[in-house]
Amino acid sequence: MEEILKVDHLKASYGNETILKDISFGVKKGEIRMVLGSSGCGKSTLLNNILKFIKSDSGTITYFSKQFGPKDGLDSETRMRTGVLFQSGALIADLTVAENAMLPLKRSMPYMPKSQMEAIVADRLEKVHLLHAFHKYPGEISGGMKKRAALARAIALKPELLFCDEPSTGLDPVTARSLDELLLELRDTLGVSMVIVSHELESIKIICDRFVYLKEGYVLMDGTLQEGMESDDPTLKHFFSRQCPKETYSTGFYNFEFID
Amino acid sequence: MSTILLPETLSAANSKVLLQNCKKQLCTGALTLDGSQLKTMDYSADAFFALLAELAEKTGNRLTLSHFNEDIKAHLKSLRKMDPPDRPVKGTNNVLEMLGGLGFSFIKEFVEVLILLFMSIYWTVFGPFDKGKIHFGGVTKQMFKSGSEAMGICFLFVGLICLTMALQSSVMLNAVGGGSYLASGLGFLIFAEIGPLLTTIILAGRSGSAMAAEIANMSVCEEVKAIKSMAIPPVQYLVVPRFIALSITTPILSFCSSIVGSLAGFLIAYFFCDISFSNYMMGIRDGIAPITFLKSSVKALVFGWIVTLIACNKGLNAHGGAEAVGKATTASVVSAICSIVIADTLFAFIFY
Repeated sequence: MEEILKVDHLKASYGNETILKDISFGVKKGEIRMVLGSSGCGKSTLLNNILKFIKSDSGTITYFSKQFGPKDGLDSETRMRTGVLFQSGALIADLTVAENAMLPLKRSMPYMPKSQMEAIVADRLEKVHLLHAFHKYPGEISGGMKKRAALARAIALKPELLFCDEPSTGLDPVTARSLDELLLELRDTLGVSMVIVSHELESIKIICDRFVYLKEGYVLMDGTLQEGMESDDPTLKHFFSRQCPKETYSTGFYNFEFID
Repeated sequence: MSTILLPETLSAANSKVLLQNCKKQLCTGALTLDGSQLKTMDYSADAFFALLAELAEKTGNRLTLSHFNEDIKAHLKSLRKMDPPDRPVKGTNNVLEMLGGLGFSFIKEFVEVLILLFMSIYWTVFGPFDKGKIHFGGVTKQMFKSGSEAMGICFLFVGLICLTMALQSSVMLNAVGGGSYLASGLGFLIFAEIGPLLTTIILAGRSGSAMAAEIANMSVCEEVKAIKSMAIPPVQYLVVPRFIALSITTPILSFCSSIVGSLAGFLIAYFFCDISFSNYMMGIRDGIAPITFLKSSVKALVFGWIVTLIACNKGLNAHGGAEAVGKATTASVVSAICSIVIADTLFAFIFY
């Protein structure tokens, strides 16, 4: 199947520290590709590099057959074909939920009458079950609603590729589950491919088609969820069985001398 | 060998004195801790026994524990020696490297502000022709927030400072019989220097800090990234409305503040130098060439740009948490005021 996103030998650093050493993977049309790994392994850095919010050291990113070098920015056309759901939602606080969702439309179709834009936004908000918050400001809605509002904004232009940074983090289990189901519904109804950064095992089990697991700047495994769960690799075993690897700074026990 | 009897309870309240006694004994020779009465211990006991064990190891003196109950024995046997990781070495103590770093960051910031200036001018000129331009009504909102709302404090500061300056000048001028020159001297000073300089310094503290905090908060909350992800240039969305607003309001505010300052000066001229209003106005007219108003407006305009661009640049470059917002705000005010004073000196050489 056609790959709509291809990351090729990506290397990225923060200051003198190399976070991503050699990352390569692709995303096929219509699939949900998850980026997994323990906290601090560079998942969000990878997303920021793919989205070109920060410049990479080397490697290329190919969007819809268009290649971007390490120092290139994404062009407007590519940005409009992708949507991003940020970890915090990142709604503009001064604008209502509807105005937030309208921003991409205003940018891409400035000639469109406001009433038409409002109709499109209403459709997107209905898709994320948030039509009732149309005129509310981000400060007036809950965390889960903010994420859904941000999702409505991300899908406003019916993007072909959707990036989600830890969509269910910080949500209660019920809201997290409903958000996962929403993502699946969007994939099925709109045919959106997704790259989802997460370490929520419950979400992974529900929505993951294929995953890449990052460790120490490299791809430890690229495969399906089934393959990951059956892997003998200790890191993956710990991850999928939710076991905490032992780390200690102990140098032994005190040898007290007891006499009775 | 000395023996110390431990109390029934070993807690944070009594372990300090006990530890000092035990240490004293252990430094001089072997020590036995009698735990026959010891029944309960709190969190401080681990440190108590660990410290004594380490001291015994260091001095080579024998430490023995006698008559401890089985539970406490089991607990002490499981007590582990810990060696936490060393604190990573950050930064450098080399003065030259630090100075070099400061110089480099100054040049970097200067270039960033310069780029922001060109981009702002570009979007101000070509923005209206951009088909995807977002209309936010941002300019009027920013004009109100940064200009109108700052009017009161600008007038108050400039008025009071001009009043003080006029009073001090009048005393000196009256002493040499030159009280009639107060209006012309004061008028020139207020319109050419005090008005634009003080107004923009107040704007840097009031409006610049608000701008930096607002944009820094947006950066920290990923809102700037969200704007970029929608193919909207952050400069067009966040900087240009503020740039245009302050380009309009700063010269106006500076001029109005100068008028308030002149009126404050008139009070002193009237009461201390017996100068009538018409004479005062004539004095001001004689003291200020028409070109001075233009120079003053140019100065105010450039100072307004300095306030906006430094505040926006600091805000856009903020990353981290809430602390970054505070840092960006403080740095914005300090940098803007320093830059305004430096620019004012340069203008003094260019214009006069």
